[in-house]
Amino acid sequence: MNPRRIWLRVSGVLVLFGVWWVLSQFQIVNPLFLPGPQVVIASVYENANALLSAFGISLYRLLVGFALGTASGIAIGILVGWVKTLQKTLLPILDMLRSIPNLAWIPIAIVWFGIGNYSKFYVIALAVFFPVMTNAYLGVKNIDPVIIRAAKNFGISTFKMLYKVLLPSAFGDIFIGLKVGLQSGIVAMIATEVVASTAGLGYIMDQASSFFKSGLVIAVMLSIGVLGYFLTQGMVRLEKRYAKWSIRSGES
Amino acid sequence: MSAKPYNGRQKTKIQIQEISHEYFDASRKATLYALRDINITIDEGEFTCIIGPSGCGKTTLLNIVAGFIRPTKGKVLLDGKEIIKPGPDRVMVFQEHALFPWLTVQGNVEFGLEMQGKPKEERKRIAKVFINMVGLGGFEDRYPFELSGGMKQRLGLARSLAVDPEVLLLDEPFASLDAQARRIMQDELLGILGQNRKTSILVTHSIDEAVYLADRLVLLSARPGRVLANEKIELPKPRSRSDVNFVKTVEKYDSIIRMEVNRAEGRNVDNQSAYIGGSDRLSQP
Amino acid sequence: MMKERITEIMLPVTSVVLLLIVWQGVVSLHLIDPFFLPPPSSVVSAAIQLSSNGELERDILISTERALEGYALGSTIGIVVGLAMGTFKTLADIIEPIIEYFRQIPEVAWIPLAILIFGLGGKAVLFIITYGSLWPVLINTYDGVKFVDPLYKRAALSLGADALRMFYKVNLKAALPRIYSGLWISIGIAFRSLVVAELAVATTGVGSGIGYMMNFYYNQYVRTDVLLLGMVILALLGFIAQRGLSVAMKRLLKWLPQF
Repeated sequence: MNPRRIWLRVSGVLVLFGVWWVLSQFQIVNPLFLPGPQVVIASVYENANALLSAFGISLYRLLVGFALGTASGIAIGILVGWVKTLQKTLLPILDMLRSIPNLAWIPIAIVWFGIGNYSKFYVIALAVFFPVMTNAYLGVKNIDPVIIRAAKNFGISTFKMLYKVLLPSAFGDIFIGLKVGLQSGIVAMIATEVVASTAGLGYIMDQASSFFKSGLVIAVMLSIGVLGYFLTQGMVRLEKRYAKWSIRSGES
Repeated sequence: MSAKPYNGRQKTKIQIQEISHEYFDASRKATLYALRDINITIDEGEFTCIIGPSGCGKTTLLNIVAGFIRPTKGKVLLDGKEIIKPGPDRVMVFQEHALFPWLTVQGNVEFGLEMQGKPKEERKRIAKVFINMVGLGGFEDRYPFELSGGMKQRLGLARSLAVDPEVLLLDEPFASLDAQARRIMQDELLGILGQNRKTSILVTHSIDEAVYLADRLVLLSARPGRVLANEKIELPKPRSRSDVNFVKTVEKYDSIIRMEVNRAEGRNVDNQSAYIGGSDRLSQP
Repeated sequence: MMKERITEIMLPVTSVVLLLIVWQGVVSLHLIDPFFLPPPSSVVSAAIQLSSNGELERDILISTERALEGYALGSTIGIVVGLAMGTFKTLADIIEPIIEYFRQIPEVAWIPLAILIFGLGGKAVLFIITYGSLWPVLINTYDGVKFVDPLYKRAALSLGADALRMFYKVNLKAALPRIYSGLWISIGIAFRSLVVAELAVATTGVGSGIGYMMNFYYNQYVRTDVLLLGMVILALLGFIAQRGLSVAMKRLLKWLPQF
């Protein structure tokens, strides 16, 4: 990347910071709504412990939900993609369920699992499940039939077919599903915590908001952004390492 | 019915002067030459075919004439004026046809006319002429995705001809067609151009195609591309593939290219050897 | 041919109907507590009950209005900025890092701050929906314009197009499928932002709309059937909205094979 581009990219961020600082310093915007960078940083220091443990809790929930959603998504996606009868019977039902906005499940999840971690696992897993399943299904459905024929030529059992042929072929699409699923999962994580929780990042934001500590709210928001960024980068790295041969440009 | 061969006193249309082009190859982290010291003169109304082994730079040369690439050295003159950017005076027919998928057949053909500022009625009229000329009459309202490969190619041709270019450039236009469709299109192309006598440059991998179509045949060496041969094909048109002279010409170029490929694969990349020159070169005009 | 089409439609319909029957049966036979899994019958009766005094219609109307407003606003911003970024590389270079970062902050993370700034009402919900809707549209529009096959640009140049014509006759048209993609995804996001924002506001006791309805009836009367009713309505609204988008865009996109 040439120096000019780097300079442009950096300047954008600098300008943003500058504007933020000016707006807050000269109270052009109500400092309650937009506290200055100093306030935000101070909030981080003051609440470092609470923030750290909240981070841990939220991350834990995200990972568990993600694992559940991914495992079930891949399994069901591949199955539905491979077995034609399932495609015709199960898929319409799944499509219907998918059209219910993930986060609309929050209240019923709380009824079922209470306000603790399990409701969070459920909603996050659900949010991850749908994109992963859809992509796994499409990935298997769109496998070049020639490859299947070649595999059958060598006399392969159905079970081996599943994980030695179908899974690797659909890998690229599954990864796209994972990336989308991660984003959905993060959204679900925060949503469940903001709406009904007693711990976690969303909870802290909610509490801070009711006590008018906007500095803390913003601090958490920004760190969520950082978290999301690193997780996504991690995914991209993983994809490069394990699925390099099947990377395609997906849709956001 | 055969066309007369050319005499030497035709007007010069295109002059390719001292063209050299280098580019940076990221995978080898080196600057390579695509073309070296290309000098070619093309007369008005001539159909020139450029052939050569893969990677010899023939498409690059065509892109330079089209104006998509500025050469690192040298220039190309059209009617005496230097070419610096693409334009409808040198329209290109692409290998991947590059048809605008959001426009109908009619829309695609009218596109260039619209750019020229022609009023609606005139556009429609002109477009219809060319659509019929390439045999797509009745398909005006279809979209490219509904057309077969051969039809797409014809559409690309119609679109380019409609703007009445000074020069027609064709980048392996029939490469994606099957053997039969290819032959049919070659004859159709000759038929259409026969009426117009347009100066044309066609790049192809197929020696057979080149000898079948060309008034002038240019052969480039392996990378970096140099002119190995540049001669007029004097066989009367329409040509017959079973004609003795046709076969001999094809054989001649075929063996030159084979030797060239062998040589290129055996020698090392930056050896500017004295091979070029002497008896291996064919007659130069 | 007809027979095939009939079976094509009948099979999914049959499975869904079967599911509903099983669902209803399982609860009616007291295998599952209707509190935990309200059967279709109670969802329907809840709908009837709540529409008797116009409450249901009112909530649906309020929510739909918000969703549409937020979606329209967000998409417009997304398209404008996306187009600008795709066309002016310098602008893109400046803004891109900012966008790459901020898109990681989901719209729901803004809820506490939005409530702080806009208070407990429709404005906060509208803000969240707008914010949520704009990202997929922006990114897809930007990508759509950025990744126009250079071949089309060459063809247009060859045929004599100048910069302005190139933009709206080639870049814009070629980017349409991607823009459509973004708009489609955004509908789902708009509805999910809607429900969360309304729920979040509702937990403080005030509010309106479907999310509020769900929260209110559960909190006050422990009505899980209203929860399910809300979910079903949201799903239907989203579905209708997507169909609407598809029909609206059909004219612009009829050159795509899948239309």
